[in-house]
Amino acid sequence: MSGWLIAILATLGTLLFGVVKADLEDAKVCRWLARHLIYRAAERLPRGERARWREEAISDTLALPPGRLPPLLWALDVYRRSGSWAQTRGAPSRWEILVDRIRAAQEWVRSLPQARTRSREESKQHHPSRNPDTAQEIMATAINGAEAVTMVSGQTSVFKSHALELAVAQADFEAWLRKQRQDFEAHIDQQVVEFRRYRDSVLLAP
Amino acid sequence: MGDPPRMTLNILKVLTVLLEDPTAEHYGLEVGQTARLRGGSLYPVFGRLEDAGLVVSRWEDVDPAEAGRPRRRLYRLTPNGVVYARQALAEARQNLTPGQEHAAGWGHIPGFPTPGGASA
Repeated sequence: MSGWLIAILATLGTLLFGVVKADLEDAKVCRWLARHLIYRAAERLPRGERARWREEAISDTLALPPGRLPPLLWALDVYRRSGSWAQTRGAPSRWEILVDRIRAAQEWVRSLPQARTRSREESKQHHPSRNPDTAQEIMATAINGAEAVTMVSGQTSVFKSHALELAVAQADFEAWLRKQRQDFEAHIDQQVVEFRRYRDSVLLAP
Repeated sequence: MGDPPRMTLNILKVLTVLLEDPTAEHYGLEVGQTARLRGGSLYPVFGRLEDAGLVVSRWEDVDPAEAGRPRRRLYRLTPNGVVYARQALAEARQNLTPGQEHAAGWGHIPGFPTPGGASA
């Protein structure tokens, strides 16, 4: 079993090495990689200085003698030392960033119970059953919106929103919905009749 | 002008190259190749020298489309920088024994004052 595993890994490694080697022999790929490394290095610098140093480093990289390795080595060196460089420019170290993130996560976790309580209280305040004005408003909005949708698309599923269910009794809602559907179908029938009449008048005209 | 930077070998190398022609403007790669410094060491040095007011820099006035290359960042020593660089190199020269500059890795830089007083 381990023999097979070694053979598979060796094959994959050979293939990967071949791909990487072929890529690195291409000067364009090397220049792209160099540019990418410089961008990554500049990302570590303070925000206000990134553009300047990035442009300068890329300019210098492009001015290097032609060949695939010099720009890559230059960019690798910039990337390798970018951490300490960023610290001399006043950027926080990776360790400080990590500590800040952990602290922020701790604060967020601590604030969760309070946020949940606040959310529950707000939800109670705005619940239609607790506030007749809110219920009426939801009803008006839902019915006006429903009529508009009915005339355009004929879809009925949008009517049955959560807010409407809370505000309207189920039987009243279904009766209202049936009436809407009948009106819509009558409207469509009327349109079809008018269209046929127009078509016949055009086609059968002498 | 900020505080003078802590003197390091890389700063000495860059100052030496810039001091060859204090009025001329040099771009980063040119200085790096003469001082045998790569980008990762060179750009922090320029940043520190600029913060200390020893060097000023500006973007080259060229049209990249016409020049066929991106514009360069040009560096030049300020009058204070010239004085500071001369002092720093003189101190370095005093502290070196003959042959030590080669061991320290800056003996190859043209213009670097050797302990004997003559330029390398």
